Amino acid sequence: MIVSPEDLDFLMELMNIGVGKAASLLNEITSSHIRLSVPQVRIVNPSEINSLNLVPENEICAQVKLDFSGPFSGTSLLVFPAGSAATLVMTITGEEPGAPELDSIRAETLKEVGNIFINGVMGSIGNVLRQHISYSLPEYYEDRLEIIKYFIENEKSDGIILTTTNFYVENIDVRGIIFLMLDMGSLNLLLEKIEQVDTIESSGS
Amino acid sequence: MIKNLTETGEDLSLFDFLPVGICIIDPDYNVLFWNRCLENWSGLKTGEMTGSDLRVKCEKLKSSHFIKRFGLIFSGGPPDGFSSQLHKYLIPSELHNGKMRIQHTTVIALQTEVPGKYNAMIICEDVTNLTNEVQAYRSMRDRALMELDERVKTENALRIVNTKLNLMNSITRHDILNQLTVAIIFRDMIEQDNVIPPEKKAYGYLNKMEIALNNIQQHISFTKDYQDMGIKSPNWYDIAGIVDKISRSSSFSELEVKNGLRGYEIYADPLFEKVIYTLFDNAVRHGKKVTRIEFSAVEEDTSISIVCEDNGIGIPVNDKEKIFERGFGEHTGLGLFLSRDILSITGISIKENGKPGVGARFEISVSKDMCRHSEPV
Repeated sequence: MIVSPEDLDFLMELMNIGVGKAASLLNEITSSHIRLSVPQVRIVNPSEINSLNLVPENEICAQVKLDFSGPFSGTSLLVFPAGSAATLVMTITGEEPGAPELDSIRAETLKEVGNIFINGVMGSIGNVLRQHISYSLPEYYEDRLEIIKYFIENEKSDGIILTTTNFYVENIDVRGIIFLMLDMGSLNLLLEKIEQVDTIESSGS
Repeated sequence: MIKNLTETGEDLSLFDFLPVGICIIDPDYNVLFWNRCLENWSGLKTGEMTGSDLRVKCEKLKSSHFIKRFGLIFSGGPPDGFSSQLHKYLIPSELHNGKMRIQHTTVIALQTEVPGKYNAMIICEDVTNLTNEVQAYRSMRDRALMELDERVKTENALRIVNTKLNLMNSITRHDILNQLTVAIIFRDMIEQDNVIPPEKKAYGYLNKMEIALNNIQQHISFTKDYQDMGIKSPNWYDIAGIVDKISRSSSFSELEVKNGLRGYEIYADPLFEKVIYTLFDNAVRHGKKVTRIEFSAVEEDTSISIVCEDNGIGIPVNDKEKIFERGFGEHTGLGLFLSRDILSITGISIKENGKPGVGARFEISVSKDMCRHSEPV
């Protein structure tokens, strides 16, 4: 899959808008000020994912997953290293310091944080596509990142939009990774739509 | 799927039987459906709520972040979740004890018959009990961690105090032994110079002085052995290896030793070797005619007995417990007393149950979690 630099720029802008909206929402509902780094976006081939060493092998990660279907289908997944994810939740909820453990209550909160991010990103994409997309209910997992292999192998993805961003909350720094795994044809559809927007914008100017 | 709710509202009656609060609103926040569970929780009747603006009863929905997130739902966006930690009481509902019901809420978009128009279904789960249990668990865990931390600090402080006491003991023992040596030398010089003839009463005092000085020496040696006990952490020891090592020493070279403990390891104080040495030493010293010592293991349901038998004169019935008391016997009277203490550090017991005249039989009883096979037996 060859993606032009212009398309990648537009995709990066889309992700930036989505992540930015999510950060602004999070700041409204939490007691801490959250800053996010400019997301790094790249499109990777499913077969490359294991060689990227995104998180240390065997590290347990907290993952929020949302499937979407329709003309544009696939799976979005937000991943945090589990230990720092618990600290992130404790900081944004203003909890008293204690053991950073992801119990069921904190996991639900993390699911909400993940949900906000995924929705921000999917909202941005939805605005470009202007087509109805159906969504599953968000799911939460704690597992090694290896689980992604399962999704990739079972969903015949033709491309993964990989977005990494860092959360800075007070004195903690947590890296979140958003995987947007697109089913066969979906990446092409998205790129076509992006090009249409590009064309309209260019002819307009 | 659910469409045109105002006309087919009766189809939603199934939701009245669910143990979760369910409410459906249109993009103007007007309530289209309010299930029985929400009626019970909030005290607000379905008739009263239907058609009303939900924001009047749930003021939180007026805040900008709810408007943005619900806006995405009304445009057909992905489901959204509102966690109990960040939004405890989305739909106000009081419990019988006067406290508020803690909720976890999920909101999903429902497509209507009008293309591009979506309603929102709000699903509230009561997580009050779960939250209370998690909080109780957290506070218990934090308390346990705090106590553990305190214990570690106390242990470290005790270790330092113990080190200082041991140092002081060693120095004091060294100084006493020096002075004792001087006293023994002077006593010997008095005897060698024949200043006191053997028939004099004072000569007897010299002998008593010698006994007293030797006793002091033994007591001092005992304090060293006792001080070493429990200083180092217990560990796993190969029992057969220890028996072999001791049996090779010159003091016991004439004994026939049968070692049936191959493969057994014991979790004991590092002074465990001294216990086995004491058994050898006692056999030779008190058994009179001992030519053979046999070590074996007897496995029981929950424990293993390490048995040491000899072919000496045995222990008289009346002395079977006394031999473990401090000061008993013809020698120092410390060996078996110390052995029992050394073993007790890891919960191991020792007793003598041989037949007088046939031989001594010491039985060391170890629970199975303190004794294991290092190789197949």
